[in-house]
Amino acid sequence: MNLQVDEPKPTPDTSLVQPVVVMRGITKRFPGVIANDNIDLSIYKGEVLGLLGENGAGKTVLMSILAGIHKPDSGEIYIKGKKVVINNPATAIRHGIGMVHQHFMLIKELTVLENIILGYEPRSRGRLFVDFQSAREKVKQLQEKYKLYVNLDEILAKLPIGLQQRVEILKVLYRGADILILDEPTAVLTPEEVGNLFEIMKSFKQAGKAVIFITHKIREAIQICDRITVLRRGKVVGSLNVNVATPDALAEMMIGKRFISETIQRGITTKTPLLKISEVDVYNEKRVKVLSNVNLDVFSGEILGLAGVEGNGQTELVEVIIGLRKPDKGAVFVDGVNVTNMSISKRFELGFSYIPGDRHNALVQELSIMENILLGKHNNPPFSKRFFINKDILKAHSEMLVKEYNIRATNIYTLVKNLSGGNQQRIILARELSKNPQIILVVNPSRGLDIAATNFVHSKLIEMRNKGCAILLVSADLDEILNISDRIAFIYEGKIVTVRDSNVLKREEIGLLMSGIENEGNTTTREG
Amino acid sequence: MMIEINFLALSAATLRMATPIAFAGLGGLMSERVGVMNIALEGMMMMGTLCSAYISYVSGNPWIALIVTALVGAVLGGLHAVLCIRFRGLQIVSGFGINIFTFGFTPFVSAIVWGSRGTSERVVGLPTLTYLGLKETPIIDEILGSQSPLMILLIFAVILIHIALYKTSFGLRIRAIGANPKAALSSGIHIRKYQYTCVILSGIFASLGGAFLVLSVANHYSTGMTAGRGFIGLVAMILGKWKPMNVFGASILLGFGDALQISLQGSGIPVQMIQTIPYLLTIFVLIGIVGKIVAPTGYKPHAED
Amino acid sequence: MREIRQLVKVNSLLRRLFVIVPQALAVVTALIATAFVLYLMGRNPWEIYYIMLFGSFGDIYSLGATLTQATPIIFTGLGFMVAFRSGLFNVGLEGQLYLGAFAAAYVGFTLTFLPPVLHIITAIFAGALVGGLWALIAIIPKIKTGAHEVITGLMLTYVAILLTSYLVNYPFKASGWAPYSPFIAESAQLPRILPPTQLSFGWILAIIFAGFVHVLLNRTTIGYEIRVVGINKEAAVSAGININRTMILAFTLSGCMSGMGGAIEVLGVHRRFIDLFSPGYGWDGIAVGLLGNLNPIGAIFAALLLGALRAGGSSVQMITGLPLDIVTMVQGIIILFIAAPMLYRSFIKKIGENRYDD
Repeated sequence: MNLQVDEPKPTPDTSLVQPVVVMRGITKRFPGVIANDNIDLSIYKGEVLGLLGENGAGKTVLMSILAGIHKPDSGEIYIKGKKVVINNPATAIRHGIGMVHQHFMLIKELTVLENIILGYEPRSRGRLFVDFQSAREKVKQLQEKYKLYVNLDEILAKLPIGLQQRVEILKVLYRGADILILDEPTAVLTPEEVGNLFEIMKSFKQAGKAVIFITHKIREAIQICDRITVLRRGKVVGSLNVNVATPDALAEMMIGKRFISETIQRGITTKTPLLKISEVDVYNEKRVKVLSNVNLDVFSGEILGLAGVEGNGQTELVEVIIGLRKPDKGAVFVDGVNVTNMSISKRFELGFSYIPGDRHNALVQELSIMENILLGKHNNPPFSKRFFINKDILKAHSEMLVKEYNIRATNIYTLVKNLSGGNQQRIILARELSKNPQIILVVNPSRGLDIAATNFVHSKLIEMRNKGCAILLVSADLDEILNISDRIAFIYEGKIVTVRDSNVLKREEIGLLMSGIENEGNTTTREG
Repeated sequence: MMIEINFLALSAATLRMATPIAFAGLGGLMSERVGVMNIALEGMMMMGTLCSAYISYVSGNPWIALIVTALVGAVLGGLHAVLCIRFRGLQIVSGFGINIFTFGFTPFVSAIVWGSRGTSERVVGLPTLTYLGLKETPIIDEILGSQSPLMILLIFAVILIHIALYKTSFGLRIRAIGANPKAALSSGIHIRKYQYTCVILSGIFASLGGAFLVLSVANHYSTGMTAGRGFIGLVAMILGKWKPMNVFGASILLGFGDALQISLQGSGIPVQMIQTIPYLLTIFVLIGIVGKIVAPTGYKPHAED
Repeated sequence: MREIRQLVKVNSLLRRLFVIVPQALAVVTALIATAFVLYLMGRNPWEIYYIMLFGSFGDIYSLGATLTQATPIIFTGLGFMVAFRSGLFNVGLEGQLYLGAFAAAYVGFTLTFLPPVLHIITAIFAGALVGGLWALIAIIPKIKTGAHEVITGLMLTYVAILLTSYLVNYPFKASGWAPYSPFIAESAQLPRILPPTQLSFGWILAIIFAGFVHVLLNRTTIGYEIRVVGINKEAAVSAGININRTMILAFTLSGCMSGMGGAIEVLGVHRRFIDLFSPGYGWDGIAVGLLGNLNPIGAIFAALLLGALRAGGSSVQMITGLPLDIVTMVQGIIILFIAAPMLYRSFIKKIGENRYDD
């Protein structure tokens, strides 16, 4: 399907009209990171503003501040020209701001109507009883006006996600929102549902509401927005009217100047891949296809980086490879062996190792370093012999690893929960890499780590690669992938867009590939 | 004729013995609907037995005893609420703390007041419903006439809770809190307020169940007279899927086990075996529930913490 | 708060002591609260506590009574601990205790042809087996349907007590009108080690067993898996540990331990099964498990404390007529105050959380 650039949309003549929301100088810090750095943003009535950026760009945080979920460290917010302080969601609602979250705040056990009016129920018979009648009428009016049709008496859990989203939107409209924030709403929708959503957004525009559309998908932004503001690493890069925005320009703004490191010495490569993922399809609990015909080969002595914004199927793919999830179609091969039906521990026995993205799943916080190093190996010699754990061998091994991986702690008996993120990551690396695996699946390894720790992690991975290991690196951090991958695969909406050698990858292509757009000459085509 | 009378007596007894179970079941329901597990119902019921016996003994008026007992139940509910904000593993510990404390406290006080940690003297109980003038219809009179006014209270409570849960804003919010506290919070609801209210109510219900045992069944206090009905009430709650009408129905089923046990005594079968009937019934019910048991998500059975 | 943590990290001995502060505090507060209740009832709490102290450690009889009472509690406490470590609540300890006691008594008065040591071992084994099976009945529904093991366990407790009561009142009743089983053969008796008290070799066995549980939890792969499952299920799964199998194992072992406690009580103290012989050793196990900080060595001390409370409480009952139930009251308050610091610590953890995700 070709992406068509519509004729120039009538954009609000911003020189004459006052913005309905002005955010000025908004800064927000979290431990270790500046999420929003002195951001200025204006939003007008009757427009759809796209807020475009990668993971970690700061889009959701910025809008959360507007919605009263976070408080800014500095900066001001003006609604309709008046300065306001928004300390909690209730205040934001009072100012007419409504946010439709990426992860719905809905209650599955209640009906649609009950979900919509929760917390703002109209009362009858003296404040006690809910006036369902008037609630129903009011909601029906909204349904008619915006074509948000859904059965009010259905239990929420029975609805497909697309309809659940409508309920979330109705909730926000019911509370009188004039300024609507939609956080990555298309992430959970089918293409048809996306079309419906865009129609609804157009009707919001016509009703004079302001709509903010948070997304990382370039073509969608171009399709529906009037203006697009791009954020990168907490700063505003720029704003473009849609009639002058091209995918290339937006991609460049999103990704910025990324340098691909020079070709790193590649290790030995064999013909058969050590890790092979073949034609994998996965449907999630809601029957949405989250992985489509995924084919990936990882060879000995290389690092294959899987690039893509989070939420495009990486989680499910990782689960399939480890063994936490069975694919609906397709197979996983480890060193030639079909492991699709094997248990997790059996896969580990084949020389497969996993470094998870969430440290909490890999470490037991209440146990010591030494006992965490044991995890996964505890049934194997030499650490255990017939039920008994050999404490001496474990001790020596742990001390050696602590030294080799430079883990800073008082001693090996220190509880893991008392260590910094960087040190915790080192323990995980130490534990997994010391198993001398043939294949490593590593997810977001440097998340939350400072530069020194990140470099350490990368150097260790390269070291393993040089020893002949096959490494699949799944990361939402594009820099990480560009820095150490030999080949890079791009995943978008559950499909592999392409796999390229890192040294033939052109800088300008990266942003587009991340958005699922593969350039072939001058025409921009989309997968799918 | 013999069989008919037995059947009537059994029905009457079933309804009667269902009452304390239902009180406990409703108490459990109120508490768990806001995400707080109340394993202390048994202890609260025990306190109810002691308190109602003592106040009736001292004042000679069972109605005052009833009111004071409800207050005491509220206090215990409040204690449990304070200890249990949100954390499930600790809810069990706190609940057991209250239980074990009352296991000791009740015979202790009984010994001091009546000189025996086993049984108390006879106390003035509540009248039965016979004066309602149902004499015209013998069967109904037999079954209902012997019931306690507390049973009427119970039925009111069942209906009221049902209406409250599904027709009032209070009930809607409670259902929301138990199902998804985060979503409820984001809708601007003050969770704590509702949680405290419900757990205190559950304490009141449990202690009223205890009062029933003293004032309408035995007319005296005896240690251990609750015999696990506080826990059986939880089974009724689970069986009734946390819906008031269904919990009442489940209580009748479980109350039947209790009534059966009572009626079989003196029939020649060893008394201990007879007494196992209600418990075995609950175990079969628990094991026999096919499919997963999902409580209001404030604490799904598989959640940790 | 961070300064305190630094200090604690530096001095590990200090850290060890720091850990028992909540427990010590709970006990002290419970004693104070009970003193208050006593005062309200018009009794002199200090006089009563003095009698209690003397009655638990004052002379050889008291000491013997304390240790004797502590013996079964060590077993039930260890039982609670092992289940709790895997994230489960075994509250059916009392029932498992009773069944284990009866099983041991049965072996004791039936298999009289066995030579002494073998007879004892068989009896104890029988107790453990039966206790474990009873626990198994409570945990399987939890695994299969999610039925909470607390409720099932409680119901099973009532059934177990009634069952053994029936057994000793009817089929296995020894001659006479009191609900006792026949005496066990001499070859099954655990010798008394501190005449003229009732303290039996069971006490030694209890200590040894606590050591065994310590080794189990800290030095075996099974113990390791139990601990990991109890702390972080996801990490356990990612490491290839079979959660269900581990939980079933931990819970069943827990029942075995409680059954053993019952067995040893019969073999060492009563030498026959007596109807309703337990003053609540199973419930004591919960307090001991929590007080002992979930650590077997701590369980010994906690059991000693509770044994002392019981022995002292007997003294108080004998001398002042104040019922023994005061001990149970103190226990309940202890448990409540242990719940409080746990709550406080989790609360602090939740406040410190300020997650950032885009």
